[in-house]
Amino acid sequence: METRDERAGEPRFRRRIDKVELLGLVVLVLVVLFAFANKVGAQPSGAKGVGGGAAAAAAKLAPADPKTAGAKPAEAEEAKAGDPRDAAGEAAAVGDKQEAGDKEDPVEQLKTAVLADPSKGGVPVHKEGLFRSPFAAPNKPHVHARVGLLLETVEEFDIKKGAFTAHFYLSLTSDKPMPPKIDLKPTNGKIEERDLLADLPTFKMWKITGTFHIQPDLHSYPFDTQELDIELEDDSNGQDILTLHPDVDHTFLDAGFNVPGWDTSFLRARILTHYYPDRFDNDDLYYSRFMFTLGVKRFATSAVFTVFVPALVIVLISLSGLWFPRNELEVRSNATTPMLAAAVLFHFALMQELPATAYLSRADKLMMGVYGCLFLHMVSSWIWFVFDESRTELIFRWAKYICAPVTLIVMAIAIVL
Amino acid sequence: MTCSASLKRTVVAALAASCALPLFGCHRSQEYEATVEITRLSAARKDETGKTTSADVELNYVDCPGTQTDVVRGGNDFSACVEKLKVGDRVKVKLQHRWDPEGHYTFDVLDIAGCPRVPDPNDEASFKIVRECSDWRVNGAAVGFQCNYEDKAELTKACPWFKKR
Repeated sequence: METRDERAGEPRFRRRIDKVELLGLVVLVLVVLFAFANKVGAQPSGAKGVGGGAAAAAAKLAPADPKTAGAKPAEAEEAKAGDPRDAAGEAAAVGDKQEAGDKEDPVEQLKTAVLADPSKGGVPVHKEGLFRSPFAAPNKPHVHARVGLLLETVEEFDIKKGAFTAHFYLSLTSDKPMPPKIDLKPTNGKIEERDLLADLPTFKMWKITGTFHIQPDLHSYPFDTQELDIELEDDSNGQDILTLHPDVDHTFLDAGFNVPGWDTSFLRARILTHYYPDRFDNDDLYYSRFMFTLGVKRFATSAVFTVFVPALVIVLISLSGLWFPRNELEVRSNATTPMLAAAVLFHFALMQELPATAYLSRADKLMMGVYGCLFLHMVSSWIWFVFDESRTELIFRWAKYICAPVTLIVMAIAIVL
Repeated sequence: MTCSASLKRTVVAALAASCALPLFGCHRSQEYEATVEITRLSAARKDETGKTTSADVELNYVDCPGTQTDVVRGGNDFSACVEKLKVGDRVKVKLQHRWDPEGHYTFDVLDIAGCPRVPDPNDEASFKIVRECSDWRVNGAAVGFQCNYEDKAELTKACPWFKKR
């Protein structure tokens, strides 16, 4: 069958080709420019945003408890000296009594340590007991305490920053009197507010609000499960005097608990017997670290409709272009090339919500499949200009026969991977 | 021509089937009966004469694997009726497994040992703890525990009213 272009003659045919190519090139250049500008613009602002967020959080949280923020004592002192009003706020939040205890405990433990051999360094050691560390307490009784946690709410979960705020009750119970000064501090975040509700020798309880940080796992995005960790450690009492145990009977989620946009999957509580790399000579003391994890899963229905459906629609529209013959080349191109722009924009919109990763998520793999299919569909049009015009009909037919099943296979692989 | 007509018929049939899919996806309610153990009975609200106007009953589904706790709050008549029960009793309850507009299945307790209860959609005091806990092991040693809140085949097979999806 003779096409309209063939009837029109060679010169007209070439002019139309140039227009189509030009249009395609312009769109591609615009897309690349937009993508590059978006990426360049997003990286510093993202980092700035994260840094700014962290700085803002630090600025807000530092007054509450510079020590729990993991700051070195000198830095904490500087922070206090720099802003007495904040230091006062900290004292109000944590309690003067507790603050005083924090300062006394290490001194008390160090009193029993002796400087064995000054030529080997100036760190005193304990010659009795299991641990030689100056922070060990060989003469104090060893206590096993059970840790219970009731998670009340989780709010402001920001996967890009990898941060969330949690409100929870924490309880410690034991059959023997616990060390008088117990201060469980977060190792992956900061405490904003801490109220001591019970302070008995065998029962202690706090109501805590804090901001915690996680490393999001986005391998399965948008079907990902995130683990929201709350890690607490008492670095003033080593495992020689205090061993923690998770309490399954008193670790719960509050009634009606939910994280907006996420489905509760599991909770986990465990104790990590934590050993620091040597901070000084004979730093051999172990510490009990309580690690609570809330597993939340993205709603599958939402994931399908926000990621998979748009990607498939883009591919289907592009695929429909294969049914337009050469005399409808403009329509055919318009079904494919703008879809590439749509795919790039859609992909960048998805990435804006997530932190940078060193690996491809499922959504990335899906989009790779989409790009591959769109490229294939564009090639099926461009190939007409490579071969002789006598093969126009053959190429049109085989483009459908090859591209349609290949598109289905590529998309199936992209969805499954 | 025949091939084209056949293709059209296939497309129309596929479209019709797609449109009819929601009809097959409707969520029907179902009623069940289960045996529970009463683990707590307490008055949540009393009037000026001291009469209980609202009572909480905490139930454990003893025949279901894992830990399933249900705290049920009922009104005046329900409170008066459950006074005959005591902690440790094993009684029958009637349940309605239904679709929740939030996007999952849930169930309501309609009757405890002959005490009817009308679930109030505004009741925020009743709640369920449905979880299965097991040891969390690292290097073969139990270092803690993990409790799963998602549907478990073993639980939903024995007690289908716990099915959420």
